[in-house]
Amino acid sequence: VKHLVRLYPKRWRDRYAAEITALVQRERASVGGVIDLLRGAIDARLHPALAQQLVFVPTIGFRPRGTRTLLERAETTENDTHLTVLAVAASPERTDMIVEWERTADPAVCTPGSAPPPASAPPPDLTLSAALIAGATRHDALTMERSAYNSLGWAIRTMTFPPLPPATERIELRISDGLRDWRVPFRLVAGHIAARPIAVEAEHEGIRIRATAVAWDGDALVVALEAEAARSVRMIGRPASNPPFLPGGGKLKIAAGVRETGEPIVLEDDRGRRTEEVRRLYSREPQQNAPGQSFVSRLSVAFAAPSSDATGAALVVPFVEITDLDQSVVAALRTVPVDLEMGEHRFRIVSVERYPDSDERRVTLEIPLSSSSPRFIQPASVQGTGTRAGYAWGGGPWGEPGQGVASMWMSIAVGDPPIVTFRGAVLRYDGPWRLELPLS
Amino acid sequence: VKLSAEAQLVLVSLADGPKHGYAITQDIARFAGRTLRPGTLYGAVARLESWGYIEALAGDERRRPYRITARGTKALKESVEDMQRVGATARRRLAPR
Repeated sequence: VKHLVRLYPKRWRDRYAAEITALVQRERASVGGVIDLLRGAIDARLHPALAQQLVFVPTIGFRPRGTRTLLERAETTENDTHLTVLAVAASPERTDMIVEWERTADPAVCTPGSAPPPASAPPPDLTLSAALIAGATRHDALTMERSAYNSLGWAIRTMTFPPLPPATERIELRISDGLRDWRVPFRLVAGHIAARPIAVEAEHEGIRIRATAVAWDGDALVVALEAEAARSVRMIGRPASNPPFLPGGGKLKIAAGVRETGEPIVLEDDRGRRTEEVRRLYSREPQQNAPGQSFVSRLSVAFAAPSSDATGAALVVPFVEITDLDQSVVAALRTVPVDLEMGEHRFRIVSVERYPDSDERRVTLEIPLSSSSPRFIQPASVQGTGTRAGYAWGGGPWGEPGQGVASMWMSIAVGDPPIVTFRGAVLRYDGPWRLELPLS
Repeated sequence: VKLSAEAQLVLVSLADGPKHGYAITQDIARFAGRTLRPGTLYGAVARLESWGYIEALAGDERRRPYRITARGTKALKESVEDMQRVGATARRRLAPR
């Protein structure tokens, strides 16, 4: 009878065959047993998505089946720094990790990656090295990126490492800044939040939005989304105001650049319940694999649970912002106001303020707002000639479409002569993109 | 999501604590007098897992334990309330007049 398990589809066998076979071997062979397995195999072939190929790893995202995650948070306090491994996704392809630093004592001691930021620019990255020790093998970090930080000595870093040996359960994270070392041992277990692959797509104005997987994380429904466009994708609906990373959010400050205008992504279930996105996780993968290919932005979006008797729900994306990186304009800051044209897009510098004892200027822009789609929202970035690279921006742009202008500021270090270059035009495309998700 | 009778039985079994497949069938046989065969059991387990009502724990792949989630507990409570409503109506209508 156990050979009948071979009638199940491969993905189903990969997931459940060992358990089903163990049960079958405990039973006496019978006609009823044969019929039960035949019915089970037919059911499995009719519903292949039930044998999940994915797992969801909170704070990281969707990963292939077989991905292992943290058994529990791991932490250490050394060198006046509290270091916590918040999340790990050890997949057959690579290992992702999210680590939090917090300065615990001497405020003069700079924790790795959390140097106080200057007013306008992210702090320079300290020279850190990180490795995972699995048994006798050392796996050096492939990438390390500071995702968030504040001036109080707190930072979140995302790191990637090569795949870990599948049988190794106990791992140690080793970090060094050249002078000091940190070691955090942790344990891995099989990822337990099953995710179901789906394939739902909506296309509008040349932009495709796809839902590729769903998972239940506690009471939240998490949906994996992709937006594909001919140019770089900047934003997909208004992000939830609570930050994407643990813990709690109370002390969290996102690096400059998160703007919250427009409508959020919503979920409308077939029982009439409507909920807005509560949090999102961005993929750290590059949007474009090779020149000439389309750009694909990936993210996971979580919603409060739909009605318990809902069998389907529509995920509605209200707008998408695209950055046209081919556009740029150079502006002299000596005489303002000055009108600028970046390709067909117009805006105005209305004022320039100099920060005291600094080569930094705060440049205030006015941008005409229209109700057309797509419409120019703002320059994507600004580059100065000063001593520091990087810029900050904020204050909008606010304003209702079709009603005059919006204003915003960008601050940037400039040299002499005071010249800046605005690069990239942010264009907003109105939707909606409507994706019908199966929930049962 | 409408729970099948088999899915309800699995949730009731796991409401008592995590169990692997064989322990679930034994438990259901005890409290419901019904034997779920492997094909039927894992049809229900796969559905419950994909809805986020149960989740697998670390363990031997032949004896992988499952536990009910908060979402599964809520679904089971709602399902029991539905059954109680239907039962109460049935009792009322069957009562001698």
